[in-house]
Amino acid sequence: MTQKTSESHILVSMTYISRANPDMSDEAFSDILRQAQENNVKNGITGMLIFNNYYFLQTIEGSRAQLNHLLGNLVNDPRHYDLQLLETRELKGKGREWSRWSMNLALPSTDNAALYLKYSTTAEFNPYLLSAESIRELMTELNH
Amino acid sequence: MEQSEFLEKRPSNMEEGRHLILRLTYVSRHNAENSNIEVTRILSQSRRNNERDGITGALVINDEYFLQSIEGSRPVINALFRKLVNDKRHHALQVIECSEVEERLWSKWSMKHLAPSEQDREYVRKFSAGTVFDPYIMSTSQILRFIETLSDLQERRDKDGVKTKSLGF
Repeated sequence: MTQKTSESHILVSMTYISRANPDMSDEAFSDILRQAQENNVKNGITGMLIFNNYYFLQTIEGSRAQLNHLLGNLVNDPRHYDLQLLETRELKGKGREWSRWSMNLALPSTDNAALYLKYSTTAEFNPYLLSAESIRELMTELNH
Repeated sequence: MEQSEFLEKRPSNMEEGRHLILRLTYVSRHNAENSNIEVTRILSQSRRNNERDGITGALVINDEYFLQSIEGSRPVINALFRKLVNDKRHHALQVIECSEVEERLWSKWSMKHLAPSEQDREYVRKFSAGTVFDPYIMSTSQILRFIETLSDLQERRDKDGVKTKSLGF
């Protein structure tokens, strides 16, 4: 990827949500995850993905230029739609939250339903209804 | 699951998250030589659409860059953002900051136009490590404070009725 080194010093975190295309198979999802992990290692990107068959909720961390390049591709990726950015902030001082993960994965299930319900008004997990703050808290809890 | 069944059950929904105010600030490089006519057209078009969609904001335009802050309901801002990503009038769009806010910063303007003038050079220096204005290497807070500083300066000049020579830097 072409990127000016002068643009790579700013570390940011981005969080977005999107709706999975209804015809996406389990294999397609495995592909997405594998692809993301490979590319992220190469590009110094770390992050966390939550997926429940309907919604993606993802936090990515890395250089501002790299993340924006990735975001441009994600907006036009036909495997999901209605991508919405919830938060983009510069990581100062405390650094990355997901530095150990090229892309960590969490799948909401009956086992961990209480954690998702903790921040939700609805029984079913829907990140489109959650504030950025709730999502940040949820992500932090998943990391511990 | 059938697509129609799916869509019926889970429509793309502009209602979800619409109670949240989102502010998104980005920088990009313009493609064409921006004649005054083009700038005027971009501004009048965005003001018309923004008024309709409840969006407010500020746009800094100089010789090379757009610096724009838009604020409004979360799904509405994101619908606009997805269009901006594919807008052929600019490229290398980078989101600088995006956050939920309690109140708007630009509530008085459907799109406040900020044109840096020759006199504003000192403010370029104030927020830049080098001599050349390059928002791509500026930090989030430098960019946000630069936009707010330009806005304050313009308010003061408008009040005093000072005429400025608009120049890129």
